[in-house]
Amino acid sequence: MLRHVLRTLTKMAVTLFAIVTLVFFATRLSGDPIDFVVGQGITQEDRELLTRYYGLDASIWEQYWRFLGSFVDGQFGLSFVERRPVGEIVAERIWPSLQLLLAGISFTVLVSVPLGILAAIHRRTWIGSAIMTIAFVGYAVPNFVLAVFMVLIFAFTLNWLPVVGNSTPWHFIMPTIALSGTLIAALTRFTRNAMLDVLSQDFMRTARAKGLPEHTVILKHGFSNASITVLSVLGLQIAGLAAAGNVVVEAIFAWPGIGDLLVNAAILRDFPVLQFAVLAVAFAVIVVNGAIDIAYGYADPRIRLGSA
Amino acid sequence: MTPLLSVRDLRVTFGSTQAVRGLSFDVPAGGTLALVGESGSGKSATALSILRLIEREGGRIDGGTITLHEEDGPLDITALEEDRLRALRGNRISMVFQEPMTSLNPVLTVGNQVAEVFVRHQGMNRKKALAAARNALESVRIPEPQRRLLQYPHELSGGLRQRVMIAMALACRPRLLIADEPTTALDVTTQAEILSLIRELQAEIGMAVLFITHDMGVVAEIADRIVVLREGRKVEEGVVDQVFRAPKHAYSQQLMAATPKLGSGSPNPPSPGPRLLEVRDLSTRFTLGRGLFEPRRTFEAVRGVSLAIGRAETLGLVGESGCGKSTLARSILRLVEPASGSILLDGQDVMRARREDLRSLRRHAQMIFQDPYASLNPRLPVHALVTEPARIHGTVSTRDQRAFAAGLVRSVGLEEDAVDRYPHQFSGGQRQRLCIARALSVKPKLIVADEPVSALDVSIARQVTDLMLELQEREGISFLFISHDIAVVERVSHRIAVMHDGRIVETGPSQSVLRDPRHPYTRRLLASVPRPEPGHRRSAPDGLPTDPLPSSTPEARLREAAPGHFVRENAA
Repeated sequence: MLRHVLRTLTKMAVTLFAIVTLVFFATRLSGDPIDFVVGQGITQEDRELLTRYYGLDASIWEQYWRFLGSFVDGQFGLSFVERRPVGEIVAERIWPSLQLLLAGISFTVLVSVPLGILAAIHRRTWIGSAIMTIAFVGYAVPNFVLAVFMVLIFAFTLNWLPVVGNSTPWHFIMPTIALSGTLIAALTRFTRNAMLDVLSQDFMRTARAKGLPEHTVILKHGFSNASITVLSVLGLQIAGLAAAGNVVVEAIFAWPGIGDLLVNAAILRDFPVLQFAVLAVAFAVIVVNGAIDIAYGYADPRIRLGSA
Repeated sequence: MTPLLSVRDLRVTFGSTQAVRGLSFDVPAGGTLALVGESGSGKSATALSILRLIEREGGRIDGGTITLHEEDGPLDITALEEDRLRALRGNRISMVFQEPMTSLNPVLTVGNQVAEVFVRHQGMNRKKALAAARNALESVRIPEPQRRLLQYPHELSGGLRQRVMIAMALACRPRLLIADEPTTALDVTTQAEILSLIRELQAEIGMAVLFITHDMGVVAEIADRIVVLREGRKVEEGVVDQVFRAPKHAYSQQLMAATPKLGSGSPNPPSPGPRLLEVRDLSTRFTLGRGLFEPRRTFEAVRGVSLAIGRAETLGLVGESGCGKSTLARSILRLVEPASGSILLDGQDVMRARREDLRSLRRHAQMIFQDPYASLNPRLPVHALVTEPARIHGTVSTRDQRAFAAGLVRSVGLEEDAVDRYPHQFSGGQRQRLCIARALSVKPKLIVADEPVSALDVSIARQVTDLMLELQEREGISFLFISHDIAVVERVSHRIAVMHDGRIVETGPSQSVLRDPRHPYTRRLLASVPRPEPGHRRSAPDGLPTDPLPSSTPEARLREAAPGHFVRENAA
């Protein structure tokens, strides 16, 4: 097991380094950052001053080296707009984003796993069809539409729930639902299909032939196998959730997270912040996927032991 | 004396098809009854009905009674509610299934799976149950039981997994054990061990066994009484000796006749001529290492094998699973790339052939696989399927395809109108005939048949091997016939090669090898084959030689023991 964890961590580190490098060179190749920030209409002198100020006069390798160095001191350069270290700005924003993401993932798993199992067991009755119909419709509704409708109904009309910010637990309800809506629909379908596969396996018959009660057969013998599929789907979907979902939902609910920061930085052309916010999202995706890889090892002994 | 279990007029249906049609039989307490029949005879449906698991598989008990005679009075299983059934399953009546590979849960430890029976039926706590599981594993003679508790099924061999299944089934010392083809998926030596284990434990616990099988050899080995089933009806019942000596019903007679018996002779060798295939010192390795962070390991599946096949000759390749026989077959056609050695097919060098030459070489050597269900594309009609190799090699045009296909299916004993049908409309035996027809489409000189009849019922298998013999006679085709079933190999092969651990340990004319086996491994293999003669029953495990096999070193040479009969010398 330790070997599996180490292997996963090494892979994560390599991936992260590759992304950092990619982001650096991609942004440098997209043109002179000075043009981006101040546009035309400054004197040649001012331009040179700015170029030196931001360290853009050095060779690209030196800049790259410095860029890597900025990770070590934890500052990540200065924001063009706020004149504060980027690390400080992003640090303030990470925790709210992470909170929302975790709330979204937990809510998704808590809802879609039981629904998926139920849909598989009752596949031939109205229960199964009802769950699948709801999941189908849910998958078709984009999360910003869901968010807007919730705001209209629960905040403006009924006045039950707050909309802006993250100050109380009540503030979590709508963003969490908006964030996980599509994922719940998808994961319910995947859980159902994974369970259907497992239900027809020989070892399920063995479990029943042992006289085990039905809930043990379904959960212990059935879901323990289906969880492998569910985990891998979750891993793939979370990437999208962390990257795209968060940006939209945070913007709608004015959630003080990375997504909100990213949108603002893009509007204001705050280059260092934008660059680092993208890295932070990538980092989150890598960490979550790494965690799922490790969980995968717990769920499936064949992976942990490095065979098959 | 009241029997332990009485089945009366049992009727089971799946949708609109009747699987069991009015079946009655008794299982005496402590005795062994064999339920014999081919696929579709309703034997598994009967077994699942006794545990009332049939509803789960989509079946329904339509009539009749299944009575278990307990100490405190008879119990009609067909009328029992789910709660009482669950208390019975795995406790009073338990079952061992055919596929040890898929019948255990892959993500739970062996200990967990055995222990949960004790938790469920004897109310033990986890710790006690694990200790009991350890003892259960020990009682089915699993070595190092303590370590096994923490292992997962994929870490165990097929034989060990089946022992775990038996340990689970016998955990609560049931009164009736239902064994549904428990040894069909196992090698002969493992099969012999499992059968003697069941017999010993039966004596120990005093339980009755309902043994379901299609294999007459196994029946002779284990059962007291036999019920022969066909299409859901009993055609014959009696004491094993009596049924074997004088089967009364025509179907039983047919079943007996189709059962391959070791020692019933081999075909006469063809007149000596030039060799068609000559393989020298062939080795094939697989790389096991994976990824950036792990060392590469290699596994040598085939180790310096040499063999030759003459024209119109059949070489039977015998060995247990994992001995490398399939890899050898594939290496000869270069479907897997051998590491070293030489292959001459009809005078042409296969090893040195370039990619495009290889394709034309393969025209001369076709392959037939074990699973006729998986090796036919379900979306193609038969006329497209059986002519595909010919079309690839450009020997038939799309226009003539249908007429050509009609000739091919006729030559394998199918009706001409089969050409417009699809694979799922055929039975297993018919599908294997289609695979043979497909191989024949390019008029090959050699057919490599990898376990071609292992998935088929005995009477169907007999027909397919008859067809192969007939084709050899008519077209002069050579065969490399691979099987773990020595009796089948004997029937079709002029010569036999015994493979063990990637090497050929003994080879020679069939009768010479089988009557006068020289290598200890060959002897052990032959001793394990169940014989369909009840008198022949082995006296429990000491009937099997179990002394460790001498490991042969790479330097060990094949020594000629008798004319044409070679044995690998041992290092010792």
